[in-house]
Amino acid sequence: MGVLVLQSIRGEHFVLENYALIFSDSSFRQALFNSLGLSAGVALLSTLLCLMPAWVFAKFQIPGKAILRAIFTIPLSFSGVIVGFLMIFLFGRIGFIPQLLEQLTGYNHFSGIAYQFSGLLLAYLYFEIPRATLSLESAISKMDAQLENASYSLGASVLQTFLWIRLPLLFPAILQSFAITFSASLGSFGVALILSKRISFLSLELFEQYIGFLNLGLAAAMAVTLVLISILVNIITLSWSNRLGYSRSING
Amino acid sequence: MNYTQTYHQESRVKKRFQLFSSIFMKITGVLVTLILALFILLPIVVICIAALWKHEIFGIASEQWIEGANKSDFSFAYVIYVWNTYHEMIFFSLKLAFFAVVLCAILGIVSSFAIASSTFKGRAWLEALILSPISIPGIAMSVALIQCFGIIRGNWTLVLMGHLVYTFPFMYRTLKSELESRDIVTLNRVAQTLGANLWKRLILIGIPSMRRGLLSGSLMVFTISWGEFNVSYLLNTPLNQGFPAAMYSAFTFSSFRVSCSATLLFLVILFPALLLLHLTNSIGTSNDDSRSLSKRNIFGVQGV
Repeated sequence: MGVLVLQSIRGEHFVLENYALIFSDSSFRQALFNSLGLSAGVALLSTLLCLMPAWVFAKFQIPGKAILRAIFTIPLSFSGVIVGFLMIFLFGRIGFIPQLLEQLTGYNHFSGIAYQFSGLLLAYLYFEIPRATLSLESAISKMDAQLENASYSLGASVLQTFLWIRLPLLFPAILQSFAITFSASLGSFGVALILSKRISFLSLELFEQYIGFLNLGLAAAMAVTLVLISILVNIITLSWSNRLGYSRSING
Repeated sequence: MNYTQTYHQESRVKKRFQLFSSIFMKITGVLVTLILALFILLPIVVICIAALWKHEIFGIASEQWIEGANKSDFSFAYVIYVWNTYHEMIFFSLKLAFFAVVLCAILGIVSSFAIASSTFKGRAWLEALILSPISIPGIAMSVALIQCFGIIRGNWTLVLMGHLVYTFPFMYRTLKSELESRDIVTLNRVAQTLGANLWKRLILIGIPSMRRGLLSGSLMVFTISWGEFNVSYLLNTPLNQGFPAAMYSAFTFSSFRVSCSATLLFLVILFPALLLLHLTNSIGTSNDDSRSLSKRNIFGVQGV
């Protein structure tokens, strides 16, 4: 499967022509940077936001926790297209929230942000919340509560414990969640297909090249670029977290 | 005396502060969780209402004319319209999901038993290969599949293949964690010394010990395959599309209410499966605690 993609990389004139095109053509380069920026932003935001729910699900006993967890897993089986439509319905030009705010305040705030960068960010966030939450939750629930208790009994404050005990312990999980959400949002083009009007993304360009222009070589080159980026991010975060784990085991 | 008094006082203040701040953190955490849950739930609820209710309450006045639609506030006319228009695609998607579940189950039983019960070299590499579709972007994978098996494009088995590649890691991971929680290596060896052949071991040890994993894995494969758009849209020919692609065409070409109705139909089929999935998992966690940790990972978002 991968070999065939590599085969179709050969250009008409020279070998890495298609790759050169991705990086030399300004619109493709812009698409690549947009993809990277959006994915990184979404990954960072969803990982940081989902620390709280993951913590709640792993450690607290609150009524209705099972229902809350079930709600958090709903978007996992939505495709990007559906998420895009939900966002249009909420934040489109005549979306639900602008209309509601117009009823309440007389001015339609947030009208049409679904089509802007912030709307895309929200849509991808919707997409990534369950992934980030579930991966963080499983890491938190495996964490040793004794270390926390030890730090409390040594007189550390809540903030100190959070900064120096919990955060370092969680750092590998945070990295991993970042990698998962990053590669998931790098590859999903459904959301962008529905929402993006002016901003272009590499996955969208791939889709257009493949379906619209039947430019198979270029599409294959883009696909391989996406795969390479996501593998690279995975490897970097994995080796980083491994190194952290190793140094900690030496210290402790 | 004086010193110890102030010390006690100080520690009491500190303890109170700690208690206060931990409660504060707990409340903030629950609040953020609730807000995020609302963020997830709100559009779904709104769309379900919008599919059935008249649209003027959302400030959207124009509406596509549909046979059977009347002026009453609450009607199923649009849902029925969507059903009439797209029911073939719904059946096609259901067929795909069904075959994906069956094939994933068969392949998953065999491969997870083979990998979990034996200790040959290169197991980790094989496993990484099986799980790699999780971290490879779906669009790249489908392009690769078309390049490789383009001859049979148009045949639905190609789409099925894409679905299999995409959903199999989830099934495999569920079954494997179920098997590993029962020390399958030892069980397998014991059966081997008692003279059971491979077939017998698979049926008498493998399948019974992954019964529950099989159920939740199948449900998960169903929900993923049912909602999958990226792979199936590219692999299908334009005339022969699944329901998510039909929803895409509804979103782009039809009115809000038709799109909402299509989404409602999608959710109506999705939610029972999701509900069942959570029920099987919560039964699994309440029965015995040792397996609950492995059950938590069933959504397979741990990365490779």
